[in-house]
Amino acid sequence: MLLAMAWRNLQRHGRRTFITAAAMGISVAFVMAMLAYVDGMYRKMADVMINQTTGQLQVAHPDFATQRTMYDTVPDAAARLKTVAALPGVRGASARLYGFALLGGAEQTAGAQLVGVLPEQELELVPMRDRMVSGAWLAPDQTDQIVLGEGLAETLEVAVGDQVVAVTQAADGSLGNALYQVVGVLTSGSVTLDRTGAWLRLKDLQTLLVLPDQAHEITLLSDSLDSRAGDPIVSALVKTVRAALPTDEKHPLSVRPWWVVSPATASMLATSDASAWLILVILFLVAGLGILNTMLMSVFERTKELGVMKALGTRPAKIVQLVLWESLLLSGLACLGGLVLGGVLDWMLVNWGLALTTSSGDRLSTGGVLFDPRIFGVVRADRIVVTVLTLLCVAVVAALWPAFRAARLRPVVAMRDE
Amino acid sequence: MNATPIVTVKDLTRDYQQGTITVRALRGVDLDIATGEFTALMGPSGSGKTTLLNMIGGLDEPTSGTVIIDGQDLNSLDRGQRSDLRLHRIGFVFQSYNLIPVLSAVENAEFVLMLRGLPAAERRARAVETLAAVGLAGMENRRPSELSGGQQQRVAVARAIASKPALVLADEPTANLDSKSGHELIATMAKLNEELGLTFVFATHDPKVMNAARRVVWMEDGKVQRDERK
Ligand SMILES: Nc1ncnc2c1ncn2[C@@H]1O[C@H](COP(=O)(O)OP(=O)(O)OP(=O)(O)O)[C@@H](O)[C@H]1O
Ligand SMILES: [Mg+2]
Repeated sequence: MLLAMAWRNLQRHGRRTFITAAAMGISVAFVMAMLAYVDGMYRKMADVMINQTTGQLQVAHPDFATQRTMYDTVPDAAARLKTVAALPGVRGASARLYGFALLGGAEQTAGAQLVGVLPEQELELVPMRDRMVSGAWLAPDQTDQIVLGEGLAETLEVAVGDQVVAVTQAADGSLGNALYQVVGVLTSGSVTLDRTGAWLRLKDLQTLLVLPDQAHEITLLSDSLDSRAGDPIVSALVKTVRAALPTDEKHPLSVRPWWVVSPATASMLATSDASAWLILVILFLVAGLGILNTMLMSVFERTKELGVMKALGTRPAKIVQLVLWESLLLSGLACLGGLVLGGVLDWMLVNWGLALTTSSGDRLSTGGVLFDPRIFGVVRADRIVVTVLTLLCVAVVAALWPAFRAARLRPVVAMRDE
Repeated sequence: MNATPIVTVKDLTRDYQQGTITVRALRGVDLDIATGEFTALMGPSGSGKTTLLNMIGGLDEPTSGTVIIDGQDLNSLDRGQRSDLRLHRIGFVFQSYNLIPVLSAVENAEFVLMLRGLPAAERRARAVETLAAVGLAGMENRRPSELSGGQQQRVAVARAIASKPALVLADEPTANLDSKSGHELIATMAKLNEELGLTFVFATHDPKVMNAARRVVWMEDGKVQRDERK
C-alpha cells in the first residue's frame, strides 16, 4: 500500500515527475555514453601504448629503456626468445631491434625509425595485417622487404612495389646500406609512428646494423586484459620470466612490466580512468539536486496530508519509507529510460565510433602521442551496473533530508497548514 | 456517572506563546468521559475546544495537568508511544475531512488497519463492511475528489472507526457540510454509538450535534462551564 501510495503521489504531478525523470534519464544515458567513449579511448590508448609499444612486459638491457643506445642489446636473442615464449602465461612474444636510418626513394629522402621484427611473432602483439593501407605485411621467409608508415611513404613519395635505399651507421662504425622492396604501407594507430616508422625483418636489420643475433627488447604479452599499473598477472609473469633468464655481469638483463618501462603511460591511463569517475560524480550531483528539489517540493505541498497521517498514528519510519519509495520509483523510471537511450548511444558508439578532432582539425593527441581520432565505444556491464546503482543511491541520499523533514512534522502544526 | 472512564482530564492547562503574549487556551479543565458516551463540547470560538481535543488525542502536550487515556497517563509517554496510542486506541475525524487524496475510499478506510499490520484481505473486508455501515456501499473505489463533502466525511468516519478504537474524537465534523449531510452524518454516528457502543467526543458549534448528544459540555475561556446530561 505504501508503494502504491508512492506511485500515485508521483502520478499526481505527472509533468514534474516526467521532467525530473527525463533529466535524470538523460544524465544516465549521457554517463553511459561518456563511459563507453572513455573506455574505448582507454582501451585504444592501452593497446597502442602498451601492447604495441612496450608490450606488457619487456626483457631488455637495463639501460636501453632510458638511453636507447644501439649497443645496449639482448644477446643471443633467438635462444632467449624461445625460452620465454615457452613459459606458461605468455600469450605473445617477439623480439625487436631498433635503428635510425636515412631512407631514400626515387626523389625524396627522410629519416626513419627502423623496427626489426619477427614478422610472424609480431602479429601476436600487433594486428599488423589489419593496419595495412596497401600491400601486405612482411613475409617471414623473404629477405629485404620493408613496410612503411603511411606518412613516411607519402614523404618519400613511394608506393608498394617501389624500392627504398637505407643508409645508416652500423654498430661496428661502418656505413651500412641496403636496398629494400616496399611491400606494404600501414597505419599503426599512432600517428608519430606512421610518420617515421619502417618495419623490416629482424634478421635484415641485424645485418644492416651489424648486430648479429641481438635485439633491443623482447616484448611479451600476458593473459591479462587489464591495463592498470601493478596488475598482478603481469607482476607474476615478470617474476617467472626473471627466474627463467639468468643474467651475468657481462650480459645484464632487466625484466620490467610496462608501467616501469613507461611510467608516463601508466599515469596517463590512470588519469583517463579518473576522469571517467569525475564525469559520473558531476552528473549525479546534478541529478541529486534535481531529486532533492522535487522531493522537497512534494513533501512541502503535502504538509497537511502528512500531518494527518502522523495524527492517525503513522510512525515516522513509515513516512521516511514513503518518501524514499517515491524517490526510488522516480529514479527507477529515470534509469529505465536512461538505459534505453544510453543503449542506443552506446550502440552508435560501438558500431560507428566517434571522431573528436581539435579545433585546428588536428588529430587527437594525448601526452605527445597522436592517436587516430576515431574512438569506438567499449560497453562494460560493470560500468552500467555502477551507473544505475549510483543513481539509485543518489536518489535515496537526496531524498533523506525531505524524508526526515516529513517524518519530523508535528501533526497539530502540520494540520493547521492550509 | 457510569462505568470506568476512558478519558480522565485533570486540571489541564495549555498556554500558547504568541510573540510576547501568552494565550491561555485552557485554564484548568477537569473532565471524565465514560466508555460508550456520546459527548458534545460546545462553546464560543476560541473557548479551547480544539485545544482540549488535541490534548486528549495526544497530538499536543499540556502546559500542566494530566490526561489519562484507558489508564495511561499521556505525560509518561514519549512521542512515539503517543503515536502508537493514537493508532491503537483513538479514531480521529477532522473538520476538513483530510482524506489521503491518492487513496480510494476503501483504501482510506483501511489505512489505519494497514498501519496496525492487519493482513490485506482481512483489512479490506473490514473496510468494505465499515463503508457500508456509514452508508457508502458501492463507492469503495472512488477517490476523495470524486465524492461529495458529506461522502468524504463519511469515509473519514469509516477510517476512524474501522479499527474499532476505544475513543473517537471529532473536531467540528459537520462544519463543512450542508445541513442535510450533517444531519445524516450525526445520525450515522449516533447509530454506531448505540449499536457498537463506540465512545464519541465532538467539538462543535452545530445545534444538530448538540441535540443528538446525550451529554453536552459547555466551555468558555478555557474552562468547563457547564456539564449537562440528558
Ligand atoms: N497554535 C496556537 N498558537 C497560539 N494560540 C493558539 C494556538 N492554538 C490555539 N490558540 C488559541 O487558543 C485559544 C483556544 O483555541 P481553540 O482552537 O482551542 O478554540 P476552539 O474552541 O476550537 O475555537 P473554534 O470554535 O473557533 O474552533 C484561542 O484563543 C486560540 O487563539
Ligand atoms: Mg476548534
